[in-house]
Amino acid sequence: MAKSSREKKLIRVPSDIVAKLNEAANKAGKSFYDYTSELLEQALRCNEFGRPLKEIMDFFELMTLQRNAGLIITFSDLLNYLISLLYPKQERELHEKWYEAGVWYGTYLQVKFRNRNILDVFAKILSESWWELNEVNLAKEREGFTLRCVSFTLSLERTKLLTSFLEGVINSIGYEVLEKDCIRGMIILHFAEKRS
Amino acid sequence: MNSSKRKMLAANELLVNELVKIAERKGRVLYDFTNELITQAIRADKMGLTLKEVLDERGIVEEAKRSGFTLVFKRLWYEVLDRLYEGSEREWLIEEWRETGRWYGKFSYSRSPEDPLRALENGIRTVMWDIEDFEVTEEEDLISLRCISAGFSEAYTSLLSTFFKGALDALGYELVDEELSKGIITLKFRKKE
Repeated sequence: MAKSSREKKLIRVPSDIVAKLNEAANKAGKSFYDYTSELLEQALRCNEFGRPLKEIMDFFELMTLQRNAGLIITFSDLLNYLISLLYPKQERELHEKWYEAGVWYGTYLQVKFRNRNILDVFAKILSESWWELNEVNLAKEREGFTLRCVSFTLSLERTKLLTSFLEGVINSIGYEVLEKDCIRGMIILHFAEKRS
Repeated sequence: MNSSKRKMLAANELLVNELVKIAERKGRVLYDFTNELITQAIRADKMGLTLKEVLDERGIVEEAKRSGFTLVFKRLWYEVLDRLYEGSEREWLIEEWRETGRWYGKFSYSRSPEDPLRALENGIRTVMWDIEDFEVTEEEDLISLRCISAGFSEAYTSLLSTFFKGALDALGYELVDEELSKGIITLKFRKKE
């Protein structure tokens, strides 16, 4: 509900915005004034997060993309622990599964972002929505690219599995990994375009 | 953003005052700031959402991030759980899920001590993306929990049900009835004496 004041104030906005608001208010079955007030009140809430509303919307869209790609939210500690139990017995199978997931995800990104540079898109997604990665850096080098990921929370097993996942993505989007370095919480991959 | 044609918009005085304050604090021109806010709100509307839904979800996701949740591919997660469930670790796995449930129950209480059940329901609906239908209803002294998802494996159905039992246990409820089939969890609880 809008804040309770009967007084109104006028603010200047672009005329096309007014037209869009009118359309949206009609669609919602609300009066223009009520709709606008509710909307402004919610828009002001983004102040609670200390981030611009555009960034919040971008993040929401990114999360929707991840959800549509088949990702879910789960308990990090539980995942770390379960992987540590399974890894010693089924290391090879797990790496195969993570690699396959990477290939699938790379293909998914290519389908979703046909006219964009997939490598840049992927690096952005990694840095903004792979929560456990504290740092993601993609650098162009003479011979190709270097992807560097740093995490303060990933276990060794999950770091290794993430490396397989990243290799899957990189291979599926037309690159080949030339060199990899993986220690607990840090992955460095050097890769270049595949030669046909 | 500049537009050659401008119109005046009547809005609630308190809201406008608030807008002015925030715009000033951010060193922004009110016209541009308002324009940006409304543009994003319309963007949400086009996605079939209200801004309130977007902001509520952001709040819960932020909290999930801070509270040690992570993103994982659903099929990899199920694969790991199925493999462990079929192996010798089943009992341990069940206990681990119960404990995680208890933690989540307490987490829900800490988020909303006045209505932890609603906090639990809203949190699960927002955070657990693989659940298609989730409802917690209160009828007299009984709490009914229903959780449905066609994609759940048998192992995951069982583990998730254990998680819910742990969560409700932490909130002071005991199980009185349980029905489980692959992808469908129905639990009934009542307040512990």
